[in-house]
Amino acid sequence: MIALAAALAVAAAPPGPVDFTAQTMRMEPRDRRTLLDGSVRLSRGGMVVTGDRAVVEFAPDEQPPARPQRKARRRGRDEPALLGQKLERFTVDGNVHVQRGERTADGSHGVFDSKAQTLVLTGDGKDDPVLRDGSETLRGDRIVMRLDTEDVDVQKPRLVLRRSVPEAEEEPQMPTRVEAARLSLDRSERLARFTDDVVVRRGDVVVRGPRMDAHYDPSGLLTHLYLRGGVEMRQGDRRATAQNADYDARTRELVLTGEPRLFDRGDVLVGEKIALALDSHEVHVERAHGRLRPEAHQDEAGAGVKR
Amino acid sequence: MSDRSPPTETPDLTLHQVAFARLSDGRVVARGTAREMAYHRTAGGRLEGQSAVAALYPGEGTGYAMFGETRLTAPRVEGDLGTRRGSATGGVTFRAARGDHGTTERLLWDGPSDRLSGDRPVEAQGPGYRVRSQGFSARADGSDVTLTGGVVGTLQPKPTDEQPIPNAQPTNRKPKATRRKPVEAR
Repeated sequence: MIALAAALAVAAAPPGPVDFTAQTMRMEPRDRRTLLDGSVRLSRGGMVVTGDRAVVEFAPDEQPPARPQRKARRRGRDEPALLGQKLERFTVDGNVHVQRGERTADGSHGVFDSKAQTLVLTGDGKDDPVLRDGSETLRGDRIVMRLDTEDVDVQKPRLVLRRSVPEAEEEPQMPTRVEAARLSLDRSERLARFTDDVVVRRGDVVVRGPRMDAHYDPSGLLTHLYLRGGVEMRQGDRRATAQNADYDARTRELVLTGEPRLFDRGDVLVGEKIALALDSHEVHVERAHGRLRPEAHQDEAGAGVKR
Repeated sequence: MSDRSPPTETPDLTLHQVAFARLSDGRVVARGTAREMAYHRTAGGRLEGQSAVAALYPGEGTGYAMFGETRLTAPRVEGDLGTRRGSATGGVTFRAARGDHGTTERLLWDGPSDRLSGDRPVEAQGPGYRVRSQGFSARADGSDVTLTGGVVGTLQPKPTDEQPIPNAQPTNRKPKATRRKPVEAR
C-alpha cells in the first residue's frame, strides 16, 4: 500500500468554490436545497465527484442579533433559500466516483459535509465502497475521506496490500489481506492504523490481534506491520501467541515478542523472541525452552529449524 | 410556446410612456413602465410593449423573497389576454437588490399553469454563485426553478469573484410611495 498514506502527491483540498455541471438543476427554495440530475459533476479544490444525481443543501443565514423592539422575523432554516446561501452539504447518488489526485473512490452514495470537511462514501448494501490508490484497493463498509487533510477513516476495512512486498517477477504473487473493524489512514505519518478485530492473511498465515499499525515508505510501499495487545498467529498446524508481532515486509519475517509461545503438533516452545520466515516456514526461537515431541514431525521433510 | 410573428394589423389603441402597477392584497407587488404599449382587440385582446421595465417586490415566504426588489427589463413584451400567455424577448435581464443579475434572450409566461420558462441560454450570477444553462422552467411564485438543457455553474465563489451592486436594498422592503420616477429603459 499505500500512497494513501504517502504524503507527496496531493495537497489538502482547501475550502473554496464548488464547480458543477449537470443536465438539469432544480431549485427548491422552501426546502433549502437544489437538485442536480443527469451526469452530475462537482469539483472543489482538486477533488472531483461525479454521479447520477446530487442534492445540494444550503446553510441557514447567520442569525442577526436580537432586537426586541422590532417584530422578530423568520430566519434560519424556515427561510427559503435559493442560490447564494452558503453551501452546507451535497449528497451524490448513483455510480458515485471520486477523484482526488491519484486516489480514486467509488460507491453508491456520497455525502460531502462542508462544515466537517469530510466526504463519506457508502455502498448500496450489495457492493461496498472502494478506495483505490495506484494498484492498491481498499474496501469497507464506510469510507470517510477527510478533505482538510489527506487522512481516511474506514469502517470494517477489507484491504489487499498488493504492493506490500516488492516481489521478484518470477515469484508468485502473494497478496497480504487485512480486515478490521476500523481503519484510519494518517497520510502525514505514512501510517495506517487498524483497530478492533484485526486479521492479516498472507498465503496460509493468519495473524489476529486487537490493533495494528502499518507503516509505509515515502513511495507508498509497506515497510512494517506492528501488531500489539495480544497476538495469535496460525500457519497450518502451527500456532503462536505473543503480546506483540512485528512483520518486516522486506525480509517477510514475522517476529513475536512479549512472552511468545509456539505450538507445533505437540511441541511447545517458549523464548524471548520467535521469528518466523513466512516463505520458508523456518522458525527461529531465541533462548528457547519447552517441550519437543520429535515423533510428531517424522513426516516433515526438513521444514522448520529450531534452535 | 412558439414564436409569435409580429402582427401586421394596426393596433386599436397605442399608449406612449406607460406606467403601471400591480396590487395584491392591498400591496404593490409590481410596477413598471413601457415606452409604448399597443392593444389589439382581435382574438380576445393582445398587448405589445416596447422597452418594458418592471420592478417586482416578492413577498416574504415566496421562493424569490431573498432577492428583494428585482428589476426586469425587456425590449419587447407581448401578452395574449384571452389565453393568458405572454413573452418577453430581445434580451431579458433581471437585477435584484441582493446582487443577483442575469440575462436570457427570451422569457415565456404561461398563465394557466402559472409558469415561466425559457428555451434560450440563461446566465445568472449573484453573491455566492454563478450559473449558465440552455433554458429554464419555473413556477411563477418561485417555489421551484429548474434550469434545463445542460447546466454549468459555481457555488460559493471567492468573494472577489462577485461585485455586489452598490446601494443594494434589503430584501422584502416595501416600495416607497415617493418612488414615482419611471426607470429608464435600456
